[in-house]
Amino acid sequence: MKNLKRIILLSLPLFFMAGCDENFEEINTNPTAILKISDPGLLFTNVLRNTSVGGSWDAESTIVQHFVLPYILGATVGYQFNENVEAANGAAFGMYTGNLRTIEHLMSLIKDDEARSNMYNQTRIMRVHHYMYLVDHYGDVPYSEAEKAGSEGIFYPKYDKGSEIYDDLYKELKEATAALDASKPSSSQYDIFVAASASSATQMAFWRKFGYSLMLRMGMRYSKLDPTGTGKAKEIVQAAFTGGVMQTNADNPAILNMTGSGVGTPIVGYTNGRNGIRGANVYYYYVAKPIVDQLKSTNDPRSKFMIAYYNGKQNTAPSIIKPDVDPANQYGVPVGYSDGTLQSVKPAGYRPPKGDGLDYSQINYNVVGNSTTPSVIITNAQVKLLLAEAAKRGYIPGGDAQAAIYYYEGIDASMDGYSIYPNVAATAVSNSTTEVLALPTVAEKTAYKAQVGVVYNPATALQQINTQYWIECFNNGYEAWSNFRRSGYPALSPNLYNNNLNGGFIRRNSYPLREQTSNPVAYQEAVANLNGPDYLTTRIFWDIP
Amino acid sequence: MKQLYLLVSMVLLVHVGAMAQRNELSASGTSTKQNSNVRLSDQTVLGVTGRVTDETGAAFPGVNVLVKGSSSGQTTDADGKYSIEVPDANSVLIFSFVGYATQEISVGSRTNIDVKLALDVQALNEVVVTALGIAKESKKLGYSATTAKVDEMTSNRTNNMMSSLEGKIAGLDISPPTAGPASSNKIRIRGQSAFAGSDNGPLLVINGLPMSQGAESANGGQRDRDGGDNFMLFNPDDVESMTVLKGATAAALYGSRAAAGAIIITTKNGSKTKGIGVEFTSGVVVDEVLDFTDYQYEFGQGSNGVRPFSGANAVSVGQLGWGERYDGVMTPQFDGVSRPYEAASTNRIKDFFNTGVTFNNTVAVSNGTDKGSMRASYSNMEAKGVTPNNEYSRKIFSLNLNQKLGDKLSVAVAMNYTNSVNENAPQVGLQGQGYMNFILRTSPTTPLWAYEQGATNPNGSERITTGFGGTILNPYFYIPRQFNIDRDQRLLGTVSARYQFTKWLYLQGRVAANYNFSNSESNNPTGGGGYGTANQGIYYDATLTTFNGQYNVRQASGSDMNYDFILGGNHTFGDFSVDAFFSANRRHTDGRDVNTNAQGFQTRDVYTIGNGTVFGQGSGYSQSEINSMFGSAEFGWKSIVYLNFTGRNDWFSVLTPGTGSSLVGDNSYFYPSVSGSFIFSELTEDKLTWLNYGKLRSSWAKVGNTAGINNYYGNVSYTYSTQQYLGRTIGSVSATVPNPNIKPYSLQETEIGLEARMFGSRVNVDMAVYKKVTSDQILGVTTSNASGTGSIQANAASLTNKGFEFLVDVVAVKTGAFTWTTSFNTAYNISEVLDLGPGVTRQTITDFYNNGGSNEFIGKQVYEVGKPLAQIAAKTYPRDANGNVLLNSNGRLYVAPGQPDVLFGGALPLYTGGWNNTIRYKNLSLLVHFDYKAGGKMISGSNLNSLRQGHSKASLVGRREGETGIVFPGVYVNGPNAGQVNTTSVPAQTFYGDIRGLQIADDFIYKSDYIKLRNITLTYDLTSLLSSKTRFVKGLVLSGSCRNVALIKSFVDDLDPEAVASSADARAGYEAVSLPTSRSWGLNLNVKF
Repeated sequence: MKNLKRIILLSLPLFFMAGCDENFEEINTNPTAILKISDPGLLFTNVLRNTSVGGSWDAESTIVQHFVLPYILGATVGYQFNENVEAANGAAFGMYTGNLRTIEHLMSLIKDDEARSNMYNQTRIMRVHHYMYLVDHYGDVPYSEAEKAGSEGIFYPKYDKGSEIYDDLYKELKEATAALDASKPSSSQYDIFVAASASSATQMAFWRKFGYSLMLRMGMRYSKLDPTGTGKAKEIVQAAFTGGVMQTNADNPAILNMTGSGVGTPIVGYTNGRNGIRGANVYYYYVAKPIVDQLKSTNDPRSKFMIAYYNGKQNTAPSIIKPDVDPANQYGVPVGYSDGTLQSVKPAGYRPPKGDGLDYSQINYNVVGNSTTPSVIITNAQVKLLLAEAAKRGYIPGGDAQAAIYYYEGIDASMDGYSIYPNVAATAVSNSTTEVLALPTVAEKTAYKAQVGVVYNPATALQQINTQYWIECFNNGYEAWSNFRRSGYPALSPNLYNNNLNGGFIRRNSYPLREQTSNPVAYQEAVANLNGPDYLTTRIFWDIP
Repeated sequence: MKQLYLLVSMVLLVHVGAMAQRNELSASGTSTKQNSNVRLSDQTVLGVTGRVTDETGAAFPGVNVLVKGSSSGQTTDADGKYSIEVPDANSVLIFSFVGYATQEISVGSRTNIDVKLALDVQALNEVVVTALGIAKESKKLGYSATTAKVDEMTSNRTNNMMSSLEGKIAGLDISPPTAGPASSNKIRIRGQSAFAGSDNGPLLVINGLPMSQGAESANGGQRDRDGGDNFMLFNPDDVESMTVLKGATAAALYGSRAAAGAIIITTKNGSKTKGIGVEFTSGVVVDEVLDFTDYQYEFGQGSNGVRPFSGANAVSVGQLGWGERYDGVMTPQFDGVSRPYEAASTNRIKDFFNTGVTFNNTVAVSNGTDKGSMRASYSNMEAKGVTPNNEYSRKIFSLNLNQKLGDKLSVAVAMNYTNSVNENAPQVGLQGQGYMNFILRTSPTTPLWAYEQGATNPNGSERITTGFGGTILNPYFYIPRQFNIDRDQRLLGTVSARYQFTKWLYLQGRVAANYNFSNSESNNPTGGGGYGTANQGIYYDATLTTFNGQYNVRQASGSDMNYDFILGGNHTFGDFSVDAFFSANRRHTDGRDVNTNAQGFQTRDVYTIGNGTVFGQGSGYSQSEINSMFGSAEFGWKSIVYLNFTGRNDWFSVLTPGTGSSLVGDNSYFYPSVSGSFIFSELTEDKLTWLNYGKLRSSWAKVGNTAGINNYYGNVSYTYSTQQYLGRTIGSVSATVPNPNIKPYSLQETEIGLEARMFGSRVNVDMAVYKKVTSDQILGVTTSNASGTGSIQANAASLTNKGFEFLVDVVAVKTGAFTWTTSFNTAYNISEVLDLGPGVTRQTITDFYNNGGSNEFIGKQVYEVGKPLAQIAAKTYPRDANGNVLLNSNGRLYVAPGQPDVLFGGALPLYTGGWNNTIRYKNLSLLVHFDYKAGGKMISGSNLNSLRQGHSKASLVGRREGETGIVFPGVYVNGPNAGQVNTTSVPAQTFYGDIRGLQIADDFIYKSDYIKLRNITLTYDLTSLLSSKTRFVKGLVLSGSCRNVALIKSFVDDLDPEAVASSADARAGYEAVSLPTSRSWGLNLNVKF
């Protein structure tokens, strides 16, 4: 009996240990790493800063014939030669391991944080932009099961239908925009779109306009599906319009890109995402004939910001402070030719090679092609032009009269929008080291708008509005391409370098090859749901013939 | 000096031994005389005579006859007769002979005692130390547990004691890499349990303290020196017993640490000593480098059949042996000096490497009383490696204490402190500073002394000797300038207390600690050729103010603590017995390290942090904990059937969600086992008289391992930008996404075994068949990017290992004083990769060449579904459908676009085993041990280089008399004669250069099979010859041994098939820049006082 007592006493420690994992949380917490972010707002800044806006010069921008890379350089052979290449196809998908991962992580951190409800809803709006970007590029993409490797152990997410993703994004956008609450704390200290000191009211007003403008863009994406103005396009556009879209260029959510202290060198990591072509051998890169001809034929005051003629070899940009920006001296590379076929076929507008490159206009590396060029997620000019079309189509009231007003406002906003670009100011400065280009004057804008073909014409309104949209989106290949697919304007001629596209246009990206091998089951299901093969010419849900 | 003294004292001791023998002889002479005067009434001295016979009734010479309690004794003569004096009628005589049951016989009133010795069945019914140090009769075990012969480890001494067990235990595959005197072993029990990267070395348990084998293998570019393993912490002289628990069932009580088997070591605690004992062991081992190369010494340095024409040209072709036929004409060499054009040496490996010498001295003091025992020992090992400047010294202090406190409570303390310094462990598996790379690849036209004298340029930078400036570096530049010193201290301690409540119930508590502290320093000297020739080869910066080179210092410390309790008991109810315990364990590890490096030295050749101008530093900390509860219950019936169940539950801190963790998975895993034994000989006792013992055993277990889940695995961390963006700080979440559902991999093993002893126990057989399946292995799997990450650690792969083990042990001859015991063991193990994750059929484990990126030579190790592990994959000759090699129209090898790698076979041996013979005659015993491995392949980077650089005899093809190049058998793939048989000759240098360029491996793949005469040991036990006058010496054993005596069968050119530089799984079967193997000669003396 005495022994039994002893046994029990001595065994007690055993049971204290038994099943014991009580200190494990502490033990499994790395004391040398930052495991609790001091402020989730730091991630919010990251999300805004790293938002993809325009795609790439040598992918999306070549489809809409803003840009061309006529050289067959192996790795750069892509959409300009109607080639279905991984580099171009895979780019947008990179969002999943990039900004979307941060977005989902941030949302999981602040989901139930009352004090950060505004930041949460702002992040939801950003998430909508990212998924629209993905759907617009591929069609069906992983959505409901995406971004769940770390949280739920889903490594091979299924693909959701693009239309269903859009439905959910619309719900998200409505809820998130409506939930922005000026009575709740602002997050302006992390918000790169507003002043760090902005009040909650100011910040929320800005974001509400941004949210509804994104909703307007979303609604207009349905225009082909809603030809009669009785369906989703009208519903969503009206909701956006009623909610209150962007009014002025000050409402532009612009991701600014920074230079170092006064020397013009960009700060590493804080440069424009579409900066890739600036690295080396810029004499391979040119603007395409359709955009050059459009700018030239209308003597467009924006031309000087967009395109320039460089005399001589350009190894890295910008090596010429004052390129020739006179519209009369600009020549675009005809679409559908390589440097080789250009010289053998000598199509209309052909110019013989010069130096190491071709004798055509390039991007103005001082302004639009600059490493510090801002990326604007959605511009006031785009909003005005979308409203013009919405009015014209009757999604919102006003008809042609109101459409014309929005149309002209859109052109003005587009011209004024260059004020935040580098080397652009109200007045020109030109000396041996600097050239600052002047913004279009009122007179120039008026003259431009008064031209035949530019002046609002109810009969050709849709073509005019969307041609302006195409010009406005010169620095945003993604939006130019999406709007081109939706509206069919401008009436571009297909790239006939080869018959890869059967004489059509690229209407989506193929899924990245990596998905075929790393997510084969879901990939096959997704392909089966496409309106055709997993190819560039297959149309996504809102892009019906 | 110290060593000299030891040698002298050893010789003296041998001399004393010889004198003792003479004394003994004279003593026995007088005792015969006294015997005739014996009277029963004489109470002081009695004479006893008699005859000893063996189990067959034959005379048994050489049997030890001792008077119990004294040191006086003798051995029986050729007729088995003895004659001895005993003090009184209460005296007890002890008759003993190895392998026979010792008999103790009271003298009483008898003057003649005849004895028949029987084979020691008890020894066969031995007690085996099993998991947790629990001693069990082997008949009760339902799994394979093999006890190592500890004395063979001390007489055939190796620096790492496991090396001496190579080929001795079936199923224990030991591969000592050729990486210096302080290198780790590759030890795999029943094959490689899991994929490379997991810890597949056995769990090492020393006096109840579990630790991983901890092999720090050389790993090519990632780690160029072998850092040894935990078996080096012990002195074999301290080892009392070693048990190899082969299967998962045997080790199941170790739960998540048991997946690769376990080796249980207990150290001597003095309990076998009665009174105070002193033991002294002294040994010396001399290592002689073996050279298997059979290179050509006909053609000298040069390229395309032209000898060097200038010093600069001699440098550019320094590694090439494609010159002219040797003629002795003065020819410029790398240093601009002209020397005769001839092979300066045909023995370069032996010229360069030293003779290694290892001295080992141990002194141990022990004391045993009925209240307890103690043993303290100190050993010192000083080893000089074969590589210049390589020295390894090790001091081990070991202390064991056992004390009974009253009737029921006893405490025990075991401590082992190791202090080792490893200086300049050789760099292996690496080009550049790997010395063997230079010795094998640099043309033998230049004498080594010229490389030594001309090692530097006038400014003190390395004088480049070959066209491979940065990859073939002159050892003579580095030997005096480079250092790499690892100082390690390790304290292993176990303190336990046991309370015996009743005869059948006990409680034991134990704390086992493993503390380590290490400090290491290394440099890369100023001016080394690896820095290139920029800035005159010695300056760090363009301003020529600071010197290049690097100095690194690292300090690390850590602890691995185990706390456990066992409540155990046993009881017998009639025919039934129960033996059970319940236990709980907590294991806590922590470690921290700080490292600093300096570059840009202000003063040349002073390697300190303070002398640097550019610094780097890092530090780390981690901790983890595993808590466990486990228990075992064994049920026996009539000593015929035993059934044993064990279960263990582990809770892992690394699987526990914590701050910043994404883990959602369970942190608790259960590992069960069941085993049984059936001693069928108990039932056949009357019918099968030839069967002395027969047991059938069977077991099943499931264990696991968290390998691949590092500490803080689940932690999601953040970083902040250092530059402000628009006045804002950007925060980022770590790019690595942890798998929230990660779990330990699991291993299930089934085993059936048979043990039998027959014919008077002269034939012993032990065999086992097993199958183990390792599933849910943790691999980095490629995921959809849409999941948020492109790859993740996941439980995705599985493999099996199947095999059998067979041991037969035969007392082949036993006539009189002569016995020959021969024992043969063999094991077969074949692995198969079952699964590599969804859609994956091949995974590259190591890409040795990696398009030149890995600074290595050729081939890959891959895993392929359906194939054994560790396949050697490489390019092969491109062939047409008929098997003809395809050649370009110029006769050179055709490059097939996108030619895939082919599999040349598995690198792991299928068969391992050995044949061990012990021949005893009286006190002399001779051990002759052969071992072998078969069924594996290896790939040789050295042979690739010796062919393409014109050094091997194979490179003579195409340039022998009358030859003008190689007309390779094959067909043209292109050109006007496409499809026709090749007749175009290509210069040998060009052709072999193409083989290198195209990475065609066919000529460098070998069977790594071998048969070796591994070891001969001659031991002379002088104990029984000691005179009663030298009774303070209780034992004296002298042994001499030779290790790696002969390579009897091999299929590899110019190499020892064991010349693999790394003990890591990922580099199995890959030879390149390993040290030459050595033959060791050893002399060992053990004296007990």
